[in-house]
Amino acid sequence: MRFLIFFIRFSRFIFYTALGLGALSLILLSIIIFSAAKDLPKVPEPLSKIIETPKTEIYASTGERLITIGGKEPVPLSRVSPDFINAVLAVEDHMFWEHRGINKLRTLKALYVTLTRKGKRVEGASTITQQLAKNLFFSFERTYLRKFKELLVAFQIEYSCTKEEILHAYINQISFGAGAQGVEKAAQVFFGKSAVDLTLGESTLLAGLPKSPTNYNPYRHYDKAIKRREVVIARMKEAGYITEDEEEAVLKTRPALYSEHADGRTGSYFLDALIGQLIEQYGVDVVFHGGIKVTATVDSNLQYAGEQALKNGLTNLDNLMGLKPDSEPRPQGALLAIDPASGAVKAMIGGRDYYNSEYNRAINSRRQPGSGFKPFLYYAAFEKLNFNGATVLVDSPISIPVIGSTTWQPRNFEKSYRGRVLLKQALTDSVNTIAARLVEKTGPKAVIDTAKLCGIKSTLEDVYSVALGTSVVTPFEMASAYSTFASGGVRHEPFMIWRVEDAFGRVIYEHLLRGRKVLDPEITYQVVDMMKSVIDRGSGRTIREMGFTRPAAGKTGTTDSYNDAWFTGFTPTLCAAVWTGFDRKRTLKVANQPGITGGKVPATIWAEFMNEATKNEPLRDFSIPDGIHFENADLLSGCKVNKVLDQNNNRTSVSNKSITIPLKKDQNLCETP
Amino acid sequence: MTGNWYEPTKFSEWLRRIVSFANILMLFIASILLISELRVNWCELMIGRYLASLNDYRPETGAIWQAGEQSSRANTFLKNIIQERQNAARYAKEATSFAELASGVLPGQWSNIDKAHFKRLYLALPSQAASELIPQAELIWLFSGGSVTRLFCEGKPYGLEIFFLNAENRALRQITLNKAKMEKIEKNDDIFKGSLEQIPEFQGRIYPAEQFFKALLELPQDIISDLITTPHKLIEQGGILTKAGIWNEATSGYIKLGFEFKDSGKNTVIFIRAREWAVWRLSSNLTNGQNQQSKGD
Repeated sequence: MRFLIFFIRFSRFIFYTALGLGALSLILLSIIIFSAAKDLPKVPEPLSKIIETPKTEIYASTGERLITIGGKEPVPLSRVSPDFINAVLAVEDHMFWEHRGINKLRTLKALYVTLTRKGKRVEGASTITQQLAKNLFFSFERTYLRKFKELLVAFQIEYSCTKEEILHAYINQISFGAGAQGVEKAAQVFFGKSAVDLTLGESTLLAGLPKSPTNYNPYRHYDKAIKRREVVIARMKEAGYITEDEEEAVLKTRPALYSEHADGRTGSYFLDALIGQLIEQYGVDVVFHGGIKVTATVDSNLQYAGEQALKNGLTNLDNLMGLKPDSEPRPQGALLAIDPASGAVKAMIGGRDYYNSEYNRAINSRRQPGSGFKPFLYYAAFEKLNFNGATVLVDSPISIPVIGSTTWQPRNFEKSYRGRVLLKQALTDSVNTIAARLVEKTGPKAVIDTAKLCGIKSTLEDVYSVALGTSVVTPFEMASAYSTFASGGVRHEPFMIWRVEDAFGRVIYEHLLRGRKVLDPEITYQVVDMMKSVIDRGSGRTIREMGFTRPAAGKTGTTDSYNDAWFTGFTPTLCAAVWTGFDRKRTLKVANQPGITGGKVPATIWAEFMNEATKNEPLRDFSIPDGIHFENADLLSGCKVNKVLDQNNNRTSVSNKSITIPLKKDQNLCETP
Repeated sequence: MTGNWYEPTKFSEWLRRIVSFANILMLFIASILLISELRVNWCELMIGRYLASLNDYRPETGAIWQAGEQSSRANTFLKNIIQERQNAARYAKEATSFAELASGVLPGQWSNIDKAHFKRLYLALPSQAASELIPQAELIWLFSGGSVTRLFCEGKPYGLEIFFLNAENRALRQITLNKAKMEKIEKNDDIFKGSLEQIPEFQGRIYPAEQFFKALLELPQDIISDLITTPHKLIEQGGILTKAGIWNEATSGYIKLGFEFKDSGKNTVIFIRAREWAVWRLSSNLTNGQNQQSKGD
């Protein structure tokens, strides 16, 4: 009896204590809810509206859409595979249709485990609504307060929205990794198809990813992703979404991933440069959230042709150097093409493999251009000294004293000297001593001024050797500066954007073509004529050997230690610069043989690219300015050679020891300027 | 009440008290609350409803709102650009002189200019200033050669650049409008030291200021603003306005109005350009006024 009374008393105590504590908890909870409520984030109405952001689209000048940035358009549930929806519900929240924001049993279990087993964390206690609340409004820090607030917002979402609206918002904002947010994007990224076309196998794979997008990224950890998929399939079976037969069948499948998947990167050196410029001009918000439409200057066909040519050329270079496929480091390359008539950048390739190295060598890599700088020197000499292609100078060892420094003694590439040489031949064969004699006469400043007028923006050292390309420049600058020669001395600033429109099609920027005459057209033509000779019979003749027959002019460039090899050249309609070399100082050379010059690999890349890029254009030569007349000059003396009548075929001809030279009105052969 | 409470001494007494009406009722209510919560989730609904009622007063914070803010900032930025463009376009359309155009289109702003409007402004310039800007023969060729598809102007700190563009957006010709120079040209063209009677083009069309303004103020506001297109010139002028006159010839859709001011015994005439059609309305009012005055006399 005494025990019974004790038990009753104890029970009474417990009852009233529980009652008191319950009432107290209720009061406390109400106070917490009231005080937390005002700081909770506002829930947008409708829920999906805020997920929408207009997409920025970039188009090529040829009309193709190159990339879409930042746009999010929610896909309706009717356009999502039911298998995916069932898989998500099974693995994330099988009670979704029943609860009102919280799964009480799972939450109590999670709470019990968290309180009783230190360090152990229960997975999957959050409902889809709670996850949605967390993803939309809260950080990912793990605190009880955050969890509580998340729960309150989940209650509000459940009260304000239908289950379909919640599910719709959830599947459109959830992250699947690899830059894919939302089911439609994920389906495109991983399987190259729309969300409505996902199969059961694919759906189950995708549904498993949100738990840990990095760890289950199927591109990196396919087997892990498949293991996770097995969990999803088992849950679907438990929840009754699939039969046992279906379970067995789907377990046997291994979904094929989309091979041309794009991660968060653009995959294009040109687009990286363009987006950088847009951000500089309009800011990150406009570029990623403004829904602008940009028409770029790039020509998709030329870009593709450039990529192929560079790829083939660098493979050829690897073979020449005896590099194995897995050798590291490997030589890099860059190609940049500009339309000389406008300055529009038509192709930009900044390296051999974007996904291996995003560093854009076409615009960022500053390297010595070597003899590629000589056209600026010849222009300066022609302008300042009234020289022409038939002016004779002596190719012999030269020493130029430099005040405050050691004497400059440039040597020819071949280490041999040929005596009297016409300037046209000197450029054709890239004779260094002649270039040194010219810069001695003009002074380095005249060369620098010409290069700057043409569009070189890098700092150029005021030293004699600047004429032999010892100051560093980028392929972008070289292409831009040579474009000025190609357009007869009219400079167009290079640009990448034709037009920018807002989401409603209103123009916010358009590029005007403003040419500025910076070089004398007649002297420019004289230099271009010599550069044509470089391709026809000089250091760039590989181009003709490769079957490129169109009128073209250019110049090779190779640095002393064979670290850099260039070819920059142009037709009247397109100018391109090609650079090859290692990112860090290293020689480009064939084993036990001389190094690789600009006339070898870069010229072949240039020829392959130009062949493809100009194949549909009508044949066109460089236009000859009015003041230009042509004379035949003797190769030894530089004096005029008269035509002689050939008795056999009754036609006039000139000696084969002569060369045709364009001259200005006031110039004659054998004149001493 | 508690003072009378005593502890039961018998088990039956305990049992009676435990299964009392109050206890059963309390247990019943607690059970109902618990079961109904499990069945219909009233607690979640109640909290949800309460929070929904506060929704409009809560802050727009959190990741999704931040993304929304970025969109909103982007929209504002783009709207400003469009607004500036529209302003520039309005100036380009409504300017009555190159000086006004150069002042209205601010540095960084740009707009297209209607070819006909450009011609009007150009023809309104004194001949020498016009040919300095662009030789007439060249302008004739540019406009009549068929290559120029549009005119584009861009505001600069010093004034304005006007581009004659072809269909490829290539600038065939570029002219620079120096704001200060244009203002000077127009100012010289806008002031005459003397009286209206000394200018033959005003003969027969000179009115006392009171009559002139009476007729003018009877016109609707939009017509008045087309008549007094550059009011600042008149407002800035010191002295008493005594007479006003109408030029006897229209140029490029504009007619000159002359306003004679008397200051310290000296007369100065200020010219402004008024829209031709508005001047006809004013003339009609002035004529009616004169007729009525004659009848009254």
